[in-house]
Amino acid sequence: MLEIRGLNKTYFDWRGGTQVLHDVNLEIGPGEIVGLFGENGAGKTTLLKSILGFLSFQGEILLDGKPIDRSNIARLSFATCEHSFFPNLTPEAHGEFYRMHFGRFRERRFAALMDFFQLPERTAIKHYSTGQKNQFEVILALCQGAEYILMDEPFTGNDVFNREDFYKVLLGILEPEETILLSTHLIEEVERFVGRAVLLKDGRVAGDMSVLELEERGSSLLEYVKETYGYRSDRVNRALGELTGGREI
Amino acid sequence: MGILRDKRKNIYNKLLYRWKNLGKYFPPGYEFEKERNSSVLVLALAAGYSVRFFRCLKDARAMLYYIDGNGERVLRPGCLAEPFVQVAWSCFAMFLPLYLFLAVMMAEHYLYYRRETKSIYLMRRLPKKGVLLKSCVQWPLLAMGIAAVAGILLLLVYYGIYLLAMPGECLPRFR
Repeated sequence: MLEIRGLNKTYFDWRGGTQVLHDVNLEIGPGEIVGLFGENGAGKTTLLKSILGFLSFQGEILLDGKPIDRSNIARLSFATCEHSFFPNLTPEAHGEFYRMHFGRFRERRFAALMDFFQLPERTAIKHYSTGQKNQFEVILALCQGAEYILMDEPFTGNDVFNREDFYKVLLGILEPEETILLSTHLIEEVERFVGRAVLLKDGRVAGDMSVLELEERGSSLLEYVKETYGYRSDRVNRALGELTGGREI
Repeated sequence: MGILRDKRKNIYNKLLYRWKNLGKYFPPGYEFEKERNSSVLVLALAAGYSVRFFRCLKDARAMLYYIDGNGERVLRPGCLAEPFVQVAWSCFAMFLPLYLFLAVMMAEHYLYYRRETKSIYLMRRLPKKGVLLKSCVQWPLLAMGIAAVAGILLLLVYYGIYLLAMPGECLPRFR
């Protein structure tokens, strides 16, 4: 169980402090596929980085009752749109690196995913296309041998077919104890993939609902997000009306 | 003859292999060849610059003599030679920029993890302690160590030459 208790995060600069996370409380159990949604600046990336220990914070983040440190950090993996691989190394060399540092590296899964997505194994990653780089980043996160796989907008730049393939493959290969925490803007796409939606607004948890509960309510994930954010669909028409003075366009 | 040639070739091949595989002392995927070569070049320049010790020694030695009325070189009575430290210190001045260069290299290795991609996120997640730090400082520290050994060896050699070159009666009490 990943427990986040009273998480607060403030970024300081010469102008003072900006609090980006306010008293975030969350529990994510093993095997869950959680979508983390929110507008830009809501605090999604800050939340993920705090969990991984990249940022200092106030509050507590526990993995099975223990703070996250070197003894259990390997139980978490991370795929980010910023990419965390070594661009001059080949996938082969990355495999060797992961084998050396992560005792539970999944060799077979790595080979199978590289083969499925037809990524060249002996080419340096810097020569890959953007879509291929994203795929490789996610493959590394999936093959590390971690139980909690955190992904921060991993599909930015991938075409829709690519993404569809990935969701299907992920659902197919994930084991019961593997947990996904996926931060994405692609709400409609991941609706069939995630089991739970956590919404962040202005650094606070604005909504937390399972997809099953949404279905019982007769609501879609997108509708739930819009409702939680107070999104008004008529504001575009009203603004256009004001801009055009009511004339037909 | 053939065995000797083979042995020399073996040693050469081993050294070449080690030279080409110094990448293990740098961050993973780092294009290390330029830095490896420039480290060796700067060390060679620092060592090469120290050769001006011979000029400094010649000048220090010349100060012990004067030319008499017969045009002969005569040792000044009671004259003390310049201490070795004074003669030699400026010849090792280039070792300071060498060390600064290697210190900057450590910072450059750390920045590498934040440059094209954010591989720093991977390095900070490694379970084994010290991997990130080791990858940044390994080569610079190794080069600093080699430079220190080279500097000490040169000092010892130059000191020996100083003792041989200076007249015994002029050697300062604390050389």
